Amino acid sequence: MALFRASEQLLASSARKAAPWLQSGIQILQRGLSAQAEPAEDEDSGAIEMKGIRLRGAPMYLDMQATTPMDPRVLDAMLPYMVDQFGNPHSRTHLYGWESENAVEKARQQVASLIGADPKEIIFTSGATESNNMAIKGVANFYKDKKRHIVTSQTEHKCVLDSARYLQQRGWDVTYLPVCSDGRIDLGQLADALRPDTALVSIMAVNNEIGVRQPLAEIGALCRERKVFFHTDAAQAVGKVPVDTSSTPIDLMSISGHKLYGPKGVGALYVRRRPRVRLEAQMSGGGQERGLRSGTVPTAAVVGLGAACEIAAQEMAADHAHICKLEQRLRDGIMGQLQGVVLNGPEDVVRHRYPGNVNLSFAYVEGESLIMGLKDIAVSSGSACTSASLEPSYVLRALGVEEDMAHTSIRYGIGRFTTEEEVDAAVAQTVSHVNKLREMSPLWEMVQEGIDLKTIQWSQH
Amino acid sequence: MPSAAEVKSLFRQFLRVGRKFPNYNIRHYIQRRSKEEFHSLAANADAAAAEAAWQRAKSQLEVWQRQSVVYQLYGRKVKTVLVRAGSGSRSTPARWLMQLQRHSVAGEQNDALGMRRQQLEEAQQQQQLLEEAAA
Repeated sequence: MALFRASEQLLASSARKAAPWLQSGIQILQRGLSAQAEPAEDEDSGAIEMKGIRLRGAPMYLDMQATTPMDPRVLDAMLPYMVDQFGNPHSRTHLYGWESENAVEKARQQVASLIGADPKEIIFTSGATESNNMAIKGVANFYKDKKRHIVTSQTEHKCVLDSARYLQQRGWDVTYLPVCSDGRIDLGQLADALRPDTALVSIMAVNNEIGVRQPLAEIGALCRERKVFFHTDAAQAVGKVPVDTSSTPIDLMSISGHKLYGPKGVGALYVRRRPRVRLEAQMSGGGQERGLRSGTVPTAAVVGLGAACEIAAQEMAADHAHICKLEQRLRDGIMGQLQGVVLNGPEDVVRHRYPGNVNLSFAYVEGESLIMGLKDIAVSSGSACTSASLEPSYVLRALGVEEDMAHTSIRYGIGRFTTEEEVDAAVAQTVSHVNKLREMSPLWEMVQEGIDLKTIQWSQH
Repeated sequence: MPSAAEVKSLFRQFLRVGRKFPNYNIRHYIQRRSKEEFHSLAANADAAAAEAAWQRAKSQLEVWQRQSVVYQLYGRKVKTVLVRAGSGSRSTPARWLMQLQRHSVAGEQNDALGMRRQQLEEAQQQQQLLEEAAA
């Protein structure tokens, strides 16, 4: 019924002036079609019940580092290629192939212009994980006769660390650089770690857990000077902070579609051509994507990635201003109303941290109960890849954060579509829940009385 | 070069699409961004940039209108907690929500959160248990 009334309003307001296609769309609405399968709903309160928890409505989404909602403009660009223009872009003999190929090349140009590259340097993959695997294993396998060493950092994404471990098992040496307490790597340590037989340095541009930005220009210059390839996992950086491969000496860069308001299941790898970077292909087959990544290029997904990159290029400045404002509001709100809150990562949002990533640790509060209580906001504690296990995040451990603080860390992700109201609600709910948990905590009582918890001798039972 | 009346009419159409968009976050995004863009368009004296922005805006309006229909067909039935859930506000709103309402302008109606009330009741029960255990 609500659908019928809503469709009538839509009809009244816009369909009179709009195109005839809108009228037929409204007719579909009036027939009450809805494609989504509904979760178990209570008729009285309209609640969703899942995993034993009753939710009043969908939570407010504040987990932009895990994934981002697709921009409607991206969906609009993708839909024709999922409906009538469904051809394989590698079919050379008919219209379906030609139009798909045009779309793929147009998307390639859009991705390239966002990062200041040439379209021939973009390889489409199934995501940043595949791009990272291709870069690390591909370069290592190509140069395995002459080189034996890889340098990476302790705070990299799991796919980079796992690829490095794979190479270690095959006789490569890997140096995992430690990071400072704010998450940045030390250039002196990196310079010391480079050897004559180093093939690749892999440092991520923006960390997904704490948002720290690494100094790509300096690292790139150092690697270029020592004739080492520089790979960066820029999944969280592309489209959000300016990354320019024409002015920064980056040799390989991984891009992820679903981190910049594009579709999931698609990404790209930037492979520099001057000076040429050679890779061994990981996916064998018909030689698509310049022989580096065989397999049919998924036209719709790739068109979505291209559209997302184009929109990101246009909206980057406005998004950045909006996100900075919201980040200030969130941090001032929480840290102004609560004590014992620590920001994990550097404070400087201009140079050292991406503002959309706010990782806070709440002292004297238990981690699981904190995250279970924040039911109206969708946030994350620890990375989405590692949250299945109970062990605290390895990134926070590398920063030197103590275990109890690492367990109570909450990562708030702010994005293009986050509103001030949602940030205020997140602040209010966090403050209220932390206060409620602390009221119940005897540790908090002791801290209030002025007892230093570290001086207590806990008796072993 | 568009006339002032045409620009105004396009702006109003953007705001109309923004008001009706079925998704809470996108709705606010359209409203906020179209205001920013049209105000910068008015302030910007450069004719070439203004013409380019005008063309972009006209094609974008159609995109938002189409997507408004798609989101209405495929969007989630149960909306976010900040939007009125549909049933009346019989129960008292949650403590954190009341704090919020005191500070913010009454835009969209914030509905009660029975689940939050449950939490408060549980906390009270736990408090009672603790007191009983201590006694």
